[in-house]
Amino acid sequence: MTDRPKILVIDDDPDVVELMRIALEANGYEVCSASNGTEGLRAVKEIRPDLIILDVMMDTTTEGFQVSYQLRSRDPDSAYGEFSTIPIIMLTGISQKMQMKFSIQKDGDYLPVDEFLEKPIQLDPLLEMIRKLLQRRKENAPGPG
Amino acid sequence: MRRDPADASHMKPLLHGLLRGDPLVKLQWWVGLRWGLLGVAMLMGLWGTRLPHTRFPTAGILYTCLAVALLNVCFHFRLAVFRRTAGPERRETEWLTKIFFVTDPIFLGVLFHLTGGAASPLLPYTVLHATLSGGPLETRSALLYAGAVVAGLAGAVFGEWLPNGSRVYGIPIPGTGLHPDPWGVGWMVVLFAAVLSACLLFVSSLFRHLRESLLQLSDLQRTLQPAKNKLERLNEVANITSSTLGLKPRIDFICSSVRELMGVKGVTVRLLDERTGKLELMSSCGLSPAYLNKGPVEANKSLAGVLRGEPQFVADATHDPSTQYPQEAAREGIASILSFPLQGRQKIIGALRLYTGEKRQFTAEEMDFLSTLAGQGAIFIENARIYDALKRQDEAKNEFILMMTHELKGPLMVVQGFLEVMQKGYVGAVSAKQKELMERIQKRIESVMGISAELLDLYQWQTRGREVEVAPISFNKQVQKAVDLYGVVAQKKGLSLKPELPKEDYLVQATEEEVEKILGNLVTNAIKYTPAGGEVCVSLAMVAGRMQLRVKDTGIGVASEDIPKIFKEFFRTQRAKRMDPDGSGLGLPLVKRIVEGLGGDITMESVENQGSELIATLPRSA
Repeated sequence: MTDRPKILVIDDDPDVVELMRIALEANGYEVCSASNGTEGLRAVKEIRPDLIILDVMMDTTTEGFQVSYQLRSRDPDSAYGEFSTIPIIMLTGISQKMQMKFSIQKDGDYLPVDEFLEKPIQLDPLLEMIRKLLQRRKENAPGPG
Repeated sequence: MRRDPADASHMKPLLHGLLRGDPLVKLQWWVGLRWGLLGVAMLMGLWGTRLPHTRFPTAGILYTCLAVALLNVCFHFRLAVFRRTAGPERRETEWLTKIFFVTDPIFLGVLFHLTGGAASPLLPYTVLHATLSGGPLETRSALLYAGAVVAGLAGAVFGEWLPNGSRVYGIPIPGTGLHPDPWGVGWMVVLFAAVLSACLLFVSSLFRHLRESLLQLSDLQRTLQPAKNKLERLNEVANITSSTLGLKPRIDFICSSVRELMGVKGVTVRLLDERTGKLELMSSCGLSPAYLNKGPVEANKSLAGVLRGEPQFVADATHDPSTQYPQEAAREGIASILSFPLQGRQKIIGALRLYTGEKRQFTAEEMDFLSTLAGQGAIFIENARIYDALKRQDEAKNEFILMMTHELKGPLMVVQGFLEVMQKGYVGAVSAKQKELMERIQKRIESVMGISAELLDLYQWQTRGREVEVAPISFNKQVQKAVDLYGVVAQKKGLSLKPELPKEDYLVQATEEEVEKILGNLVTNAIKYTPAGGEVCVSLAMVAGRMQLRVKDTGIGVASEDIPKIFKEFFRTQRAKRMDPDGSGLGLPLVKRIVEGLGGDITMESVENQGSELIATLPRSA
């Protein structure tokens, strides 16, 4: 086991995954990847990542959202209840955002994701965002023992 | 209310009623005239007591008047009842008329007798009364009536020779010897009879003449009315062609117009599907769904004539061999079917069909009318199809551009990302030359990304339409905001950017994003193409009730031959390209689209080397 925070990248574009891997590993993170929603959900259970980077549009235009809704489900019988606190960064394109029929406002009551990051991805803001989210998670986590 | 020129109902109702021969109006007229006569007689009775040589028997006159007044009151009430109910029965009005014309001469005779016989001062008024009363009568009846009145007078005169028969012996006219000379009295009666008959003949023939004219006018109106209705409908059909209604409502309108004007059972418009040779129902009225959905209508079976471009008439749809569904037609109660080709520019595009409930023939005039209507319908069905096809093409083009730019962006973003990780040294050390080249690549990619973002912007504006909610936006505030925002850039370049704003707030119905795009593009363009030391001025004014935004610079300007192309996508002048190689040529087209979407327009005025001025005119929000 390493101490490095584990980040799961869920994206169907292998180049994007590779790009993320290079950038994140260079900054001291351990990177795992999945190329679709189902695989991503399975990986969450197996790997128990510290943070998830999720592309909104994979096979379908809303696949990313479906993954995040599953992870954040409030259903007590949900298979992913224990993972509901994992921070999620969602990657969106401008045009995708415009075509969306549902609100992607983070209106406080129900957060499907923690942050949105618009494409094209700029690495510095992404790294900063990851750092902050992990920091917050560490602070909110119950102390050892 | 619109007045019909051929309709004489706007004439005075009384006169019109008399001319038309309305029995109720005639009775009213006579009762009214009798009230007038009663008034004159009563005056005479009262006045007669004051004359120096004449003594009219006042009591006798008044009693007679009272009796007639009672009769008149009865008439009056009877008429009031008629007016409340649907109207009098013919026989009853005939009876009332008879009673009137029998009692009138008797009443006049008694009054003559009481007021001086042949010398009665009532005689001149009697001519007026009898003429007006007899006017609406037929000539024969009028002459009979005149005879009866003269008989009344003769009776009165005869009464004067009876011993103690008469009460008054006339007004003596000194020197004439007319009274009580029987010959003089005789002449008087004859003259009265002649005058009265002549008057009655004249007025009665005048009435007859007018009545005939009126009837001719009504006949003319009746003949013209259907033609007028048709013209009006054709006009409405023509008007509806240029309306913004969709194709279906327009064709529905034609169907219902045809059905109404031709008085047929039902009308359908069917369009020919060239692939299958079947006629597909587009619009219908007056027919049951069961009949309409009876099955496919084969054009070459039931409409061979129409396919050749001729009208086709089936007189007996239930037995004619060309009818495809005779049983269904019988069940629906259809007797005949008339079909017209919808003749497009090059080919037959369908058929207009009329279904009658009874066997009937159509006149040549009706056929012409229907043929015109079918022609008109065909033209706008065809126009609408062309329009739809163009619209679909345009939408497909927009969709394609959106997809293409989107597809382009994905890989470019990844390339950009890889460049960034390489530049950051995440995948090994980078030499100075490599770094420089990477920066160049980065810049070129950014330029392509910029163009694709603007293209997306431009076409998204077009495809998404204006379903976004608009609100009144203060242009003054937005101009100030833009000046503040771009002032820094202008200052850096050594330009002055100043607003010229009116005190009054100018509001325009738009979204903030739209206004920002308009101002942002116009102001940055002006800054971009104005060399150092120049000036950019943004002003607002009201011109002819619309708001005018002017962005004026002292920049490089545009040659007059290039001005018309300036709002075309990707167009850039050579000088502009030299000054700013990265520009896309999509800014002004976007501004134009937004401005037009807001109901305004935009123009450019420019002199090369002196500067340009972009003038956007927008409707002001109330």
